[in-house]
Amino acid sequence: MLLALTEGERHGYALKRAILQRTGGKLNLGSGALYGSINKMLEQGLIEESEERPDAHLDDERRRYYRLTLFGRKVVEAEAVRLRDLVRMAEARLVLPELA
Amino acid sequence: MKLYRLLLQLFPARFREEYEAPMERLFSDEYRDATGFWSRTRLWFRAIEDVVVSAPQQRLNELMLDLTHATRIYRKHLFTTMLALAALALAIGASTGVFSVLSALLLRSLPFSRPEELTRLWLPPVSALSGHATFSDWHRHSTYLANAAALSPSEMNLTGEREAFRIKVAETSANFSELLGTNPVVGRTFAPDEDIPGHNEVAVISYGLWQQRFGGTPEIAGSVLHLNGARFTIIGVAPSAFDFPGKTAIWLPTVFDFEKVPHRGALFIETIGRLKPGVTVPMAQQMFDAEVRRIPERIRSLGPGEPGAQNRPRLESLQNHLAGTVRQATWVLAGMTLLVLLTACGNVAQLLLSRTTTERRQELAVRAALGASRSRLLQQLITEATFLTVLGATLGLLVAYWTAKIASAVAPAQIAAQEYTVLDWRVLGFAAALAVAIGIIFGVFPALFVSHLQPNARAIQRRHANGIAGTKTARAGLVAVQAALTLCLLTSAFALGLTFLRLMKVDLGFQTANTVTLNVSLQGTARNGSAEWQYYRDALKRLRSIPGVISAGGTSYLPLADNVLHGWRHQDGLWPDSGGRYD
Repeated sequence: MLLALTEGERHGYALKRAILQRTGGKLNLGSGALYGSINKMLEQGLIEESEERPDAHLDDERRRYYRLTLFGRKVVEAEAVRLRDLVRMAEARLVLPELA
Repeated sequence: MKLYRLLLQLFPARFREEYEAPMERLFSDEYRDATGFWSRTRLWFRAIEDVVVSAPQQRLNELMLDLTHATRIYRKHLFTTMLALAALALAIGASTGVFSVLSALLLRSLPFSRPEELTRLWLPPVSALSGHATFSDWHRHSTYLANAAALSPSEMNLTGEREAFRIKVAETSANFSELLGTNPVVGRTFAPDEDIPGHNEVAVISYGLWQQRFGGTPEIAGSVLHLNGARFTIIGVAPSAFDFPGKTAIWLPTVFDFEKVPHRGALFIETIGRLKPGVTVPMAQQMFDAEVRRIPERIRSLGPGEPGAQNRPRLESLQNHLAGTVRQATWVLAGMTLLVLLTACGNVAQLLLSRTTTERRQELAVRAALGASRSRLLQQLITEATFLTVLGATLGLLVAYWTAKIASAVAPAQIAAQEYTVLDWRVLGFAAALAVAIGIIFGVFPALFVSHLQPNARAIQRRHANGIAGTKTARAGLVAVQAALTLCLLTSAFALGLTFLRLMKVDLGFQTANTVTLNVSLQGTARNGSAEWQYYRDALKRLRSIPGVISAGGTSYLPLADNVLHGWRHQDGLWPDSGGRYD
């Protein structure tokens, strides 16, 4: 979710479609799970609601737009580094099958 | 979309306030993109699954937030909170304890098979006194009984390798266990012909006796015991929850064989029956009364009289019989405890109401100003109140346990007969339901006054105001109700106490102060006839010689003991046949 927001602000449906695309259709979040996670990340200060809105004829007032905070960006970078190091360690010790 | 909006109501108020609109928009976008019947069906299934999984999680999150907030508030007013908890614990605990007694007496079924079919027959036309064959034929041909058993409880001297001691024994017919539907945990029960004289030297012992006297050995069958000098072979062990009637430790199939075990004094024989399928207790009572009325007039004139009256022939359910004399007292006790509960609830309600409408008014006004909806505030107040009552109920379970223990200790033999678990699922469910119901009422009541709270600057700035309009009346009302209930309770307690004191002062015609009694029986010992009297004379002489003893004496029955003789008086040779007919 945080990774999807690195590309810029998104509203809920766009976020859900980005996650679906990135995971190859494996992770299809329901709106309850999605906004539950958004709520938690808002409380933790990882994301914030954006006040910028698209043009009125494209906008729907029911949509809420979210973006990464500075803190959120640092967290996603730290997590990405951690996962990268984990993968390198695994590749050094195991014979992993090639990706299709 | 209306249906989806309805689904979203499952989420908690705060979550809905924030995200209901974007969730609706998201669903509408997905619905638009899903083409075809199956895509939309899959979408609905995923939406329902998502709500079913996420809504409880969100509710739990909000509950934890509310509980944290409640803990903070109660900690801030620790003394008042402790007082409220103590009042609730005592009130809910006493109510739960009394309910557990009520449940054991009146609601919980007896530990027998299909207990609603079991009856007790008081002075039936044919009893065990008529003999094995007559009794068996009578209940086999009965129009309302599928089976009937006779039992005669008494106390006997159990002797053997260890020291002798007095023990409760029930002499029964062979079909006693079969009628009640209980199976032994070790060995077997009586065979059908084992209540016939000559075949009846067998015994079934209780689980407690098996453990205490015989060490719980699995090879108990075949062991020998002596009761009043008569020899019996143990054939089985009753289940641990079974000790009917009245804490019986040994059952013998000797109710038709009066000579088998040496007895002294009168025999008390009872009859229990299992009703035929389809026959209810009222129907059986009518048939029983009709049967008694068929007894010829010349015999009835010798007997206790017409059925239906007190100490007259009657049929009643076994559960009612065991509840017996304590039923009315239990309902009265339940009523008094309810008054105590209502008084305590009134106390705590007033506390919460005054706190909500004065000290917390500012806090609630600020939260309303920041966007908290009425339902959100209501949810918060109900959670706080329920938290208090659930905590009070949990502490109250300790009080309930002690209350029930006291009740068990003073229980008459009828309800002490069975080993019930006093706090069972019914009782725990009652305590939980009581706690939640009181919590919701406590939460809703002050919330009714908060519901028209206006988030204006004046409300926010004002601290410790006198209260919202209407609360003064409510609080005065609560005080009046509490005063009335307390007066009611005090008056009843005073009247009861006065009656009890008067009872204690009634002249019984004999002195009980500094008097002790001792139950002695020489049944089954080697002392017979004149040797027995010599023993008692020597024993009394030795008792009188003890320093401090002014006098000593003996009697067959203590004055005002619970021994009442009932029965049909029969002319010599005039006994009923198997059909209950007298010729």
